Amino acid sequence: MTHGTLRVSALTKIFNKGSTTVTALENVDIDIAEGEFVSIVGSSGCGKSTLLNILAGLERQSSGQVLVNGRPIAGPGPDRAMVFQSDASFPWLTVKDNLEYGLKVQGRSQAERERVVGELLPLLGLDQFAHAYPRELSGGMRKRIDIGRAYAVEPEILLMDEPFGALDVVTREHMQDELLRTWSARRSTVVFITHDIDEAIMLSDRIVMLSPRPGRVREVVDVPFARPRTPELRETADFYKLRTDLRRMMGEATR
Amino acid sequence: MRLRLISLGSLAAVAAVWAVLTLGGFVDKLFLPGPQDLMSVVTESWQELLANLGFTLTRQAVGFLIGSALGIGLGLLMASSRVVNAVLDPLVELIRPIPPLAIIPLLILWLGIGVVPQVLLVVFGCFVIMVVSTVEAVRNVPRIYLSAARTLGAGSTRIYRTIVMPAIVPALVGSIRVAAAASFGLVVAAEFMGAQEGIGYQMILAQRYLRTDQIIVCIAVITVTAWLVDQAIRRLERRYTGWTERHVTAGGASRTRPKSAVVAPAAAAKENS
Repeated sequence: MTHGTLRVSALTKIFNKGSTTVTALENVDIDIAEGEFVSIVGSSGCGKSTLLNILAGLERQSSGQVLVNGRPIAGPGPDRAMVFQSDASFPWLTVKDNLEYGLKVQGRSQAERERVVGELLPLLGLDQFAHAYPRELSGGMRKRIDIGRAYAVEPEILLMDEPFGALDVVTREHMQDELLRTWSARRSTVVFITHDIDEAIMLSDRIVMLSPRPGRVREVVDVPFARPRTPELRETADFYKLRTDLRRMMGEATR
Repeated sequence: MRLRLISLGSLAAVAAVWAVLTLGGFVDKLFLPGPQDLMSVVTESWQELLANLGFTLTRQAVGFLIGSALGIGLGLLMASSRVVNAVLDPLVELIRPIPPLAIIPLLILWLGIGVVPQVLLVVFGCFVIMVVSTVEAVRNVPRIYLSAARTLGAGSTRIYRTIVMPAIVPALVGSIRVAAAASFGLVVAAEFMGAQEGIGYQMILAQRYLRTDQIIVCIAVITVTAWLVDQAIRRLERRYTGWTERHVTAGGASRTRPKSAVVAPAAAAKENS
């Protein structure tokens, strides 16, 4: 599987709402290497979701450039599959059909679809639920459908927009550990949006902190912890210290 | 359970008052016939009732099917293209507020008295209900499904076929029930305007001969039929839209997919531990 590089340069997004204009993003520069896991954090209103929508091709920037593997993006595509904050699994399709959706779009043969889904189901812990509908599953399991559906198309860059934001704390941490486990098997480039600093530290190689109104890159922090990371990392003093530093930065950025 | 008893009681009370008033001879049978009068109408003229119901149901079904198909088809077309929508939306908005019964004189003037204007009235009523609700249903498809499909590489034709169409089914089935219920009212009204057969015709005839008992039996027949049709549509609804959330709360889920519904909570609990 190939992984993508992502280069965002001088990205600006201005929304026109009637007579008022809102600058959501201003001169944002981010470089993401192949196979890197980068979190974008910031308090609400810092434009992080707007940034991700632009990367996905769902919105267009006002100025600046986004290059995926050196090429400018032209609309949404499976090379940048996205996992959304709210439930996006298609409720009228079974778990299996949800996972297959992107593969069918690509016109892959049934044998190949079976193979991909056959690998994904146990990886996601959904093998008993291949023929269940999303409504029969818990919130965490539905999230795994969304993640698996994105994994299935083997994106060069995986975009995740606060995917665990709607889950309770215990399920969220469990899903983070799961994501680390499944991601380490594939190592695609990931851009992960969150406002949860613990989550960003736990998952990322690098954390980009945005300041709100207008959204600008305030700080870029390397996360020094070795992989594979285990849940115990959350209880270490180093983790705690980095978290305290980042919280302070976020507080200053918001001011 | 207690509330259900109370509900049954209130029904029984009305039935009792009816029985006492009529059997006790307190009201004229011409004004309000008693249970035994209605029973004799049924036993004497059930063949005639069934034949007339057949005519009525045929008109209703033809009108309902044509009107709904036209409404859904046009609604889908309007929702699929902004240009088509721009052309048709003002026209739909123009006819939407017209009470269907108000066009009866116009239909008679244009098409005379016969089966065609009767069916057309039902067509019109069902069409308006379905075209408006189809456009609305397409507009209400959650945007996140469309975005998700787009990021998975789906084009607009595929999105329409694989996302929009299945997503609107529950809303459409709801509107189909409304249209079916409306079509029974419309077909009876249509038959009041000079039909030569049908339940509406029999009622007009009964009115002419002051047969209150026959009128009430006709009302009962058409009501029960409408209720049965509604139940049939609900059955279909449960079969084809078993995936929707609301069946979980309604308790229909365990009936449509018992196996996985039972397993899921256990797994959910495991995940949280």
